[in-house]
Amino acid sequence: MSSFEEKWKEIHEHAQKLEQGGGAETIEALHKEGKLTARERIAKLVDQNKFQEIDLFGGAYSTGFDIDDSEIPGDGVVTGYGEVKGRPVYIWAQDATVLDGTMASNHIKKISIVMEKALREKVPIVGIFDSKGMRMQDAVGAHGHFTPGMMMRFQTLASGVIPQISLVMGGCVGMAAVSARLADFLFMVKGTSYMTVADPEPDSDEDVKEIGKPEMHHKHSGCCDVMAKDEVECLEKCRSLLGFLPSNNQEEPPFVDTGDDPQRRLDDIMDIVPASPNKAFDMRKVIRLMADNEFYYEILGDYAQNLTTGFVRMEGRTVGIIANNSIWRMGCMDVDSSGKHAKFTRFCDAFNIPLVYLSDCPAFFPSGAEERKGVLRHGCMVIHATSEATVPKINVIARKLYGGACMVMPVNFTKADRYVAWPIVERGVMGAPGLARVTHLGKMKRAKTQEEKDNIFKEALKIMEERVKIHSIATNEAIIDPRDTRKFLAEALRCTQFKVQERAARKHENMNL
Amino acid sequence: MQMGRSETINPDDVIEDLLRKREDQKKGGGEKAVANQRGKDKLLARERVELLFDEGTFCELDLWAEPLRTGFDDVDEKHLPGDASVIGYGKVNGRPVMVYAHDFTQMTGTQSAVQHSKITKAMDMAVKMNIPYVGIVDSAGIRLQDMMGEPLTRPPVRGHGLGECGNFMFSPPNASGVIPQIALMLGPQFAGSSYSPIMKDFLIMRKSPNVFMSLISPPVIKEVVGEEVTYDEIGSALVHAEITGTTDLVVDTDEEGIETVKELLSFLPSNWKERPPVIETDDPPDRKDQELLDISLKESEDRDMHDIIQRIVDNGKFFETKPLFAKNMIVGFARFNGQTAGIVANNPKEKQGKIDIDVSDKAARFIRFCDCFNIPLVFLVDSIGFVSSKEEEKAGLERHAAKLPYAICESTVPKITIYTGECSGGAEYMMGTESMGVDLVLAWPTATIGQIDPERAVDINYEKELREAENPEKFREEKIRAFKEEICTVYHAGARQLVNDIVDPRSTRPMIIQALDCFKNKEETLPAKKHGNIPL
Repeated sequence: MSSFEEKWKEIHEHAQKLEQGGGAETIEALHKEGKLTARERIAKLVDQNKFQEIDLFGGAYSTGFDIDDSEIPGDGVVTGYGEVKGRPVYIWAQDATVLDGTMASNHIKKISIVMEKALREKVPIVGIFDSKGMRMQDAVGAHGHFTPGMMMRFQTLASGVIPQISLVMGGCVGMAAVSARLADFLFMVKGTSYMTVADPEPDSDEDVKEIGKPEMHHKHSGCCDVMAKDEVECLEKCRSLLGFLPSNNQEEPPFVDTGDDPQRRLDDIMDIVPASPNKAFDMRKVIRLMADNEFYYEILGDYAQNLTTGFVRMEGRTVGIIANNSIWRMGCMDVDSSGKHAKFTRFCDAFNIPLVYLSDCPAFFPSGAEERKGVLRHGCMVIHATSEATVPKINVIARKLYGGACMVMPVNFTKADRYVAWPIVERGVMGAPGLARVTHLGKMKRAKTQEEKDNIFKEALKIMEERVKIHSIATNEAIIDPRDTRKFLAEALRCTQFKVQERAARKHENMNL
Repeated sequence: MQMGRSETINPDDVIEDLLRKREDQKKGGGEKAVANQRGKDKLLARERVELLFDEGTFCELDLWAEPLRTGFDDVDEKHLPGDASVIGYGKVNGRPVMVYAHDFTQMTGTQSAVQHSKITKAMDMAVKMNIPYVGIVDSAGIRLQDMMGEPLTRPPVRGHGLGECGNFMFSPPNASGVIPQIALMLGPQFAGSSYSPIMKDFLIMRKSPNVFMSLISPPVIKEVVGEEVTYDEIGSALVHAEITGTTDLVVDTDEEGIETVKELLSFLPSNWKERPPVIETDDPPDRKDQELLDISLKESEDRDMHDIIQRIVDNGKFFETKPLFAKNMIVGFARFNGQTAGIVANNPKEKQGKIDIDVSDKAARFIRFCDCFNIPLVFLVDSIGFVSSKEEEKAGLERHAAKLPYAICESTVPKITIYTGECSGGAEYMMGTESMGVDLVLAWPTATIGQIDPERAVDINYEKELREAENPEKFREEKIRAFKEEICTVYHAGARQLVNDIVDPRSTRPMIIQALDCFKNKEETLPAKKHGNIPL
């Protein structure tokens, strides 16, 4: 045996031992919880045998406490790079079998290193969180640079340059939770993951796992973009999402030959969309119908359901979808849907993904509580994001678009490139009766009898109904047959694909937050 | 022929005619409407504009503009000189500024296609000229006859498709971060058009029964969902200052509002390429403050951070914004040796200076504004970290809290962090550390910088010893005391490079001034991007 082989064998054995993390017992315990180990997760995330680990050797820095005697393989985190669907991606994954995945100096340094590499090499990064928090023994003496601050700095610099995805597949508490949310997309797994910023009050019965469970974050807090039923689904969905995204902000999103005919007529659409303006329907059915192979990747599906956001492919190219959905609050905009809209818009704009809107929005939701929550301030985020977006913006007005809604579902105000409508379109500031009342207030006041007043109103209503009809049609660029929506979108996207829109130079904008 | 013409027309007549016509155009909505405006203790649009600008510097544009015909006779018959708005440019304290103002005396300042085109012109011109603009808002919203009538079914005025022209919703985001934008609300604003003033960097509202702003008006809320609310509950200046956090400042009169705008402008550069103006003050840069030492010895809960701020800035003058919203965080402008700086400070007096959703939103936006306009930042830290509340988590604490570290990490202006009291529970990362790009981290000797609870730390770190100790209680107490003395101190933090220096609290002001002076040429380049994707 040559010395080369001997050395290789020696190192290989050492590596294999380190790759066992906390050892067979801890791995078994993890499996019992329905969880995979860090390396098993990575293996499922990347293409077969396409992962190169880095910084495996080394372990934790010494702390001066008893803990220094124990072995801490990889300091509780696996880092490296691999390929997903043939495209490179950086990955780091906390290893829950090693001291519960607690974060310490070298642990954080290793993560920061792959973050910096990903940013420099312009490759997406996926971070897998599974940790009980900071490692107390290390935190006492940790150097100022080995802190979550370092991670957040790289994440911020990389924001808008490379796609960043957080998979919360176990614990994620304190600053780690803030760091996780700095990514563009955050995934959680039902039953096994939790995320909170603050510790619960010492005397409370609440458990962090209960407060920060995925259902809460997916439905109420809006912090969890995708909730998976188990770990395998989570990793599969992450692969699927990466398939939609470009590697960085200088690249176009990847093209996938879907084989679906762009001319395909959507005959079923008439059964989905009720002509009556007051009947709710699930807009997602329309989106699926018109997408390539009827595939719709929804983001934040259970949160603010009055607006649906997600990705589809049209003629094989990635498109971001933003659509009002009348199944909740009749599709009215509100505080929550504003945040959802604005964040998604800005992501797509940063990564050259054209936006397609399907509008069916009667207004912003009328409620005192919404006003006091600052719906104005939040609505501004959407208008800002929509105005700012320079990717192609194509709006199909399915049914209604009233009042402030025409600022967030772009028409001419926020510079849509196309805005066309289906024949059942209704547009304007408000309905005809409201218009008649407000514009003839003076005349009606001056009327001497009730009859005279009624007549004035009736006359005004007639005029206004006529105006609304004209306005609804004439304010659109064109009216299309709903069954030709897919054909229209495919052609519009092809026509706008080289769009360039310059903006004045600046450091960055100062949008409402 | 021309010779003949000049013989028959008197040149003086031409000018007299011009002046008379000009005066006519300036009469606004007529005597009754003007009297009505005065009755509400409101100034006229042009009076407000004249007050804002240095005397005789205001040049009005498009005074002669008239609305398009709408097809509704009762509106078309009206004479609306300038279409219910005043726009133009002039100088404020010698520096050029654009302005637009609604004229409430003409059809209650309602907005039409032509008025929008004027207002948009003011905003777009400001971007082109690289100067700030001020919008003085006093309008009852969209003019329905105009919106539903012919003007909007004609090709939009200065609308889309016309190159660089925007419109009143597109232009503020387009100008954002390029020039400072300020809105002063001295009258109502309704529905969707409220968005335009809120999209500015700063909004100042007058406290008055005539000033309110809500997206949906109370009658509509009642009609649609049956909920009874009043304007005072959802749209008054105070609601927006205290609860929604939409307005930055509240003023009592028109005059005070305009003075406030001028003061705010004095802190700001004209555009993102300029540095903020330096205004000499007579406050010595090396002034030390004796009181600060005493304050530093007080417990956190006994201090108001305002006291510290006032003692370190020039002449104790602090221009606080959003003072009534999320009071556990203080933000605002001050000068250090004449140089503008933004101050971001925890206030331990309110909610122990804890970090919550509102605090993050307020501070992050302020930091991003300062970064846009080359205004250095000074952070004063005294906080025990995040609020612990299920409601906050449910409302998306992660999402909102992440804005603050994002804003700090993204900013490239000089940044100084000073630990004045307690700092624990993640507060350090919400107020900037060196690893997040802060240039100078100082601490008062009495400050504590530890992310660790000593009791918990001892229990974990000495688990084995505690189990084996003869007298575990005594051992534990000793260790906790030792931990507090050795670990939870600034000197330990210094050893770990968490702070760059530990300073005499009395020399805080000279230290800041010296640093800002030395850091003023700072340059830092971020990776090329269209924009980041800040959590929203």
